[in-house]
Amino acid sequence: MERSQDEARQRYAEIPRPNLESSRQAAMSVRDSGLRRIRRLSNWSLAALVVGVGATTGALARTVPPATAGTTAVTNPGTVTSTVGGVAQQAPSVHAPVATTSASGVTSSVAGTSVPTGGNGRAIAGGSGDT
Amino acid sequence: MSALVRSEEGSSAWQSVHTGEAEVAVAERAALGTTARVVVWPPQELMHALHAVDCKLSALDDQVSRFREDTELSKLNESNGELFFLSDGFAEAIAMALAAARWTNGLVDPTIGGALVSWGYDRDFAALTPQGQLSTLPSPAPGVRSMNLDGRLLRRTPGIVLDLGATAKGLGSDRAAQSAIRAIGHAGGVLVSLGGDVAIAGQSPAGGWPILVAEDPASVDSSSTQEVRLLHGALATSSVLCRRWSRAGREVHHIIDPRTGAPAQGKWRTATVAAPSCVTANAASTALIVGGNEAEEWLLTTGLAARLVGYDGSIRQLGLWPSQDGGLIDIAAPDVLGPRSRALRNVS
Repeated sequence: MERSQDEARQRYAEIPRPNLESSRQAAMSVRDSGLRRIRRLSNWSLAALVVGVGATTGALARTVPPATAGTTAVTNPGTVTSTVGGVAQQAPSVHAPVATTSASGVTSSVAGTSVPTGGNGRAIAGGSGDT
Repeated sequence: MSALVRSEEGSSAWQSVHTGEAEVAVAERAALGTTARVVVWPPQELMHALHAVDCKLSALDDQVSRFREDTELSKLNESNGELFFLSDGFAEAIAMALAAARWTNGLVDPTIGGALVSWGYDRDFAALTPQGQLSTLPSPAPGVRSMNLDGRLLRRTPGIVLDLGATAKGLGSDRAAQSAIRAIGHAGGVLVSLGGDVAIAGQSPAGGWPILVAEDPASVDSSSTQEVRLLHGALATSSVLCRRWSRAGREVHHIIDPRTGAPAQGKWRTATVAAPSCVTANAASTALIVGGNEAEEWLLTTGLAARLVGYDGSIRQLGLWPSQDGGLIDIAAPDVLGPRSRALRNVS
């Protein structure tokens, strides 16, 4: 009985123990190499992204017109220009009154017969009746 | 339906107006019982602007005319009902009128329609019988407490007759000017005048839009006129000199004092107001005619500017109204009745 216990103890003692130190070193080595690989990939990705953005910006700058129709931009303090089809237009100088604010005059527009009160030119388009 | 199609049907046509200014195009036609004028730069954009203005004026006429049986307002006035579901545009017009009434402390009031009818103003002014008797005895306006607007749902005490004369033209000018500037791609500037209520949009000419301030269309050559330059904002004028007729042997006019139901007998015969929007200017100028001294004090609290003409021809400027000919008007006060105003959002 005693002998069998000794044999068993010896057999147990023969089971190789894991070399924890070397496993730790191996794990650290794998981790470090993985990190280095990821860093290298990130650097390449960043570089590719920078190049891509630069190329796209350059391409768009060549193909898109400088301004779209109907935009307004302040060019100098107090000087505002409008653009039509990319051509800048300066606000005109208008010297004589072009409208009058006053009590509303009366016009009649009954059954298609209109009596405008101030038109002095040719007919250009039509409109609706009166309120 | 396009403007040109309506022209072929025989409605009033736009006429070009030669002002001597080559860098703007000007056109005019009869609309809403008065005259509509459109001024545009660059001039080649005129047709686009006119089409946009036509659409807005036609829609407004369908909403608020008191003199056509088929409009939303006429149907509402003639109905004995209490609850109405309004179109978006008509709901906005009603909301403006209610907000204006509250803002002016009741000096303008859309519920004066019954009083106007009593005094005989029950049809297009051009068709009005110049003399006659009172149809019924005019009474004070019921007031806007008899109305409640919740979005597009209007609750109104049956029998109340509405008239949106103190706000509708200004609202129409605002709508038309904004629509016209969109139609020309915001590339330039637009001025729209409906019977002398002027709204602008886009970029003003250098130094502002030159506008003549007069009492009535017939007195533009009078010494009482003034030229101003409108850079930002809008102008509206109310006067007792126009739209006058006789009833029961008394000469009357169309600006009704809601407190009495009778034509206003205030201190001023003409009031012109500069405001951020034309509907605001429209309501304020009417309030000044109705309210006299009380309205002057009120206007000074609003930050707006006004020019008043007394019955003796004396002229008074309120706020930042320019004293000199050619003076600049650049209204920076927050709008109280415009589409983005707090008053309008809170209207009920």
